[in-house]
Amino acid sequence: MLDYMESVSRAFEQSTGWSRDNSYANITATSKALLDFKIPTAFEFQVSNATTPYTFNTTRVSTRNIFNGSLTYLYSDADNLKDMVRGSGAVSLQQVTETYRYFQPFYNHKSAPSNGDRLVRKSLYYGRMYYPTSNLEAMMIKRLTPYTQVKLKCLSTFNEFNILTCHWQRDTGRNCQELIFSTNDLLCGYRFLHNFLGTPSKMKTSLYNNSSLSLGTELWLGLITLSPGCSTTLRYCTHAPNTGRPLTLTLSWNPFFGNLSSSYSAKTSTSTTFCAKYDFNLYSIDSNLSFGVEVWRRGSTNQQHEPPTSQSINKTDNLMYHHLLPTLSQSSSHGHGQTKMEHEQQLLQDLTTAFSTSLKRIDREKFEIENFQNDYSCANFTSVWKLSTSLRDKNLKVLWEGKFKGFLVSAGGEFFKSSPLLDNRSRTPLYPARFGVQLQYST
Amino acid sequence: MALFPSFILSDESKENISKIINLTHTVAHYGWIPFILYLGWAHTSNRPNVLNLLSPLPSV
Repeated sequence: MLDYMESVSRAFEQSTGWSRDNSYANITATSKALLDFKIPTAFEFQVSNATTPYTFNTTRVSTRNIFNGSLTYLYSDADNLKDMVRGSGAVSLQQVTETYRYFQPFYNHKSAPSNGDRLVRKSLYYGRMYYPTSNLEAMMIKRLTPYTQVKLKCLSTFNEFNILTCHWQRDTGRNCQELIFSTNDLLCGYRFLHNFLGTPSKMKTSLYNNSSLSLGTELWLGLITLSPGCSTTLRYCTHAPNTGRPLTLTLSWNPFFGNLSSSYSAKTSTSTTFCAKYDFNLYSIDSNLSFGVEVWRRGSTNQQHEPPTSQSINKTDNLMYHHLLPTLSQSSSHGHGQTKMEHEQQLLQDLTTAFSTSLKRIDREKFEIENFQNDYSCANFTSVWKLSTSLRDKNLKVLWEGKFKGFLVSAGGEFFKSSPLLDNRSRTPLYPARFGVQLQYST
Repeated sequence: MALFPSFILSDESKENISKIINLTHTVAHYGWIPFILYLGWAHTSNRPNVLNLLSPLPSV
């Protein structure tokens, strides 16, 4: 479940036109959300509200072994931020849950704001004070130009552990570059992501191709220890042409550690999502297979989305392309060339019919994709079950997230096949390693 | 300050600089959240009450 402040910062990105998914840091966000989702480890309660249209705050209390918590304040001068951030009773569940990421990096549609740089230069200030330790988390995001932004993150403590991290990001839609510098080990990093397709294009196998291909890489170097690091990832997103259901494939490769990772994520319906991931290490010949599944439950909805029928599509297509169909009534009156004219007419009719069929197919595929996305985004989901398991770790992660009387509830646990502390001959089939409940309320 | 040898900075100077850095750190640490609240207060046209800004609970 996303925290309230995370929702506000995402609303800030949406308000300023910043694409969160077009970054190498989030290139495997879908498989992470389906397999490595976060499970609460304590009883946690959060109350959030917006005191002014520009100021948001959160109070969090948590009880694990000791009673602790935090106070969070956020200020942003972005437009309409308060309207975009909804309270826990009105927000839709798919907006506050980490789930399958719809992503279409068609950069030809990315347009710079026409109102000049004044509207672009928005900023966000964030501060979170923990108690009883008095540690401080601080963050500042500043949009410099329509394509660049600077992000500063700081962790401040009084026990000689202070970290300042600077991010400089430039996203043109086609390419996304990021320079990172951290005072921890004087770590320097560079991330790069390139999108290959700019528009939905025609391919040999499909007339309407809504797929996208992205390739990214990252390089790291710690200046004090001189320890390098790098990885590269390929991401392919597409839709099933007949059903319009999206699927994502990623392939990651870390040459230093020899780790090869591939994942396949698909929305098998609007209420279910499936993900499989296979990891393989070339140096240690060690492998792992992970599965994750999401099952969403719908509540009563006021908006009924009628499924499209083939008759309605054909009727619309006939209306759209009626001018392309040949008019057989306009036949030639000349008797001597009648056979030749009929032959030409037949040829023209065949060509027009073939062209019309292709147009119908493009329209139908596009309609299926858009209809599936609209059906998902307008659905009134009340809860979601998330399950994840890994064959090597022999664990099972269970998470339930839902809305209950205006609260956002997240409860879950992680279970292992046997406890490392207990004897392996123990008859307990599953040992709970951690579990917790999180309650959120916001107005 | 341990990075600088003693012929560049005397021990007393090192101590003073260290005190200044610690004081700056403390001011920035405890002043960051009041600074965020001041930005919200100054940017709002009706200038809300400071207690309303500080209150973490939803206003009735």
